[in-house]
Amino acid sequence: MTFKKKYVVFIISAALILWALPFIGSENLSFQAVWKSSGQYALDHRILWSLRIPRLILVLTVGASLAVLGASYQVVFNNVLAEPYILGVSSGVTLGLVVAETFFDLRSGTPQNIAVGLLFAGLVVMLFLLSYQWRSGRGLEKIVLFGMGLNFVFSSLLFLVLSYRSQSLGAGSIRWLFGHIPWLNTSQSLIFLLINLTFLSGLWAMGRLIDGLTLGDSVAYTFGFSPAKIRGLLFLLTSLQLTLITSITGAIGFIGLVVPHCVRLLFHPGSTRLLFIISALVGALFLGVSDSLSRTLLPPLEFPIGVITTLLGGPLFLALLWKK
Amino acid sequence: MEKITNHPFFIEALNVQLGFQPRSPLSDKPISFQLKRGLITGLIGPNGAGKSTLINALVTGQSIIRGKLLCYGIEKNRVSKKDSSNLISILPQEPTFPRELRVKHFLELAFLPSTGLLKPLPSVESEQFELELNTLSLKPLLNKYLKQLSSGERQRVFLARALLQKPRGLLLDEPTNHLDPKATSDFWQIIQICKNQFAIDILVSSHDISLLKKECDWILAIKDGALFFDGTTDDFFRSDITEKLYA
Repeated sequence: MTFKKKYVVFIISAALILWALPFIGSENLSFQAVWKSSGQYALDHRILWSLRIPRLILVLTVGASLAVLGASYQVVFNNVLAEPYILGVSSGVTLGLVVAETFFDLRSGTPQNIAVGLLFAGLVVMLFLLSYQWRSGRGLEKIVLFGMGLNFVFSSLLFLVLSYRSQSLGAGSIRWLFGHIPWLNTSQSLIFLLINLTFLSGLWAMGRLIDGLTLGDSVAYTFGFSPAKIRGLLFLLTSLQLTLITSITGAIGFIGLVVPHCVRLLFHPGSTRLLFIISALVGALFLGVSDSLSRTLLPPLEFPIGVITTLLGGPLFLALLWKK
Repeated sequence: MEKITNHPFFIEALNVQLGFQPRSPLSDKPISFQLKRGLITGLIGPNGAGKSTLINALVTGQSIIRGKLLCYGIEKNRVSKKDSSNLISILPQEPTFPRELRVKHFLELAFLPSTGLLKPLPSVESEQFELELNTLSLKPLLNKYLKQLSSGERQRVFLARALLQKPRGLLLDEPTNHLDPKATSDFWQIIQICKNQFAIDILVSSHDISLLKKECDWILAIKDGALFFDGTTDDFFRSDITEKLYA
């Protein structure tokens, strides 16, 4: 397929999927419910506009963001195995959430505890990392290893708390391990969308600087760039965004790792900015489809979304690698 | 910028001590030298003598413990962002590069510093870059991916990237390390063109003594972080200094 054809096919199928997504669910909605709100359409209208659409906004936002975050880390670390969770930020946030819920009875989902307890957890990790980077100056591998170490420590602490809790409080632990999509109302999901769009435009703006880093630090210096500052700013932005996302949905796996990969294999984008844009679209669609599947496979059961993303994307990804 | 254009020297070291930690410089003896413009200077010395450290210090302004290291009369951290990319360009010893990128998109990264953040990068296929592309015979490679290139082709692409940056001076850190004899001589041909046609001042580090003898106008030798020799290529090879350098 030629370059342009690929984009046309992609955009048309993306539009079709996007159009279909709100109508998929345990209730079958009629299309007229989009604009008709009276009589037999009243219930459908409400389901569509107060439940499905806000949820879709949230899901698409998270999917797009995770894909772009993963893409940015893969470029900056020059490592195909990099993903958004590589710095240990989100495992720190998850731990904070679970601790707040288990020991301080702050129910998750209330804005107060999301804002306070969990931003805190993310910030601690982030400051940890930044101070580490500035002290050692160079050595990207070291940052990755450091993040991996943090991940191990936080994850085992998380398991510790969860196993304590499952004995005293019962179930509900699995969503902390695989991520879940909460039901937000329209204004909440729109605010979430706006904040994430701000972060994403920041990353998009940094695209050129990140391009410069891919040539190696010494070349970036001749460009008048300061690699340490660019990386510091990038880690700051991405960690903040990741903290926000994780505190709402938990750590949804796989998207940040595989979507940028697939985009690179299929589209070969010529710049980091283009990689970001396509990854955002693919990531959004991918999580949108995964969420619909998680709700409709065995209604009213809702599967953890991370399980679906992995089950859906894993074979696709393997097939793509096989073909290449 | 005018001051830079008229400055008589490419690189000057004024009592420079290099090192990674402030308290332990590579050598107690500070380095001083002046490299004239319009020359190809060979930088030689045993492994660990400080060649790469010197080249990196020129680019980053780091690892300079004492003294001043100047490019065209200015220190690295005094260069404005705008002028930086037109001052010197570098071909690192082990360049990192995005493997999945096409050659043309990779080359266009050379225009990053001169293009506004919101403007599109100029296309490398436009006429104004004909000369560079033809000199390095890169036209047939433009649509290939970097991962598909041979070592020789890749090195030519990296050199092209450095040239498209339109620098006054070029730093090459062991550029022909991985190349076969044919690719090596092709590469040096291009280096000579850079000097003669594009009027670029060149500092190249290498272990290939016979090539340096043939291609360089000036030799700068360092050993254990200190200056060992600074003079014409003829003088260097007239004496038995090579043996002493590697002794």
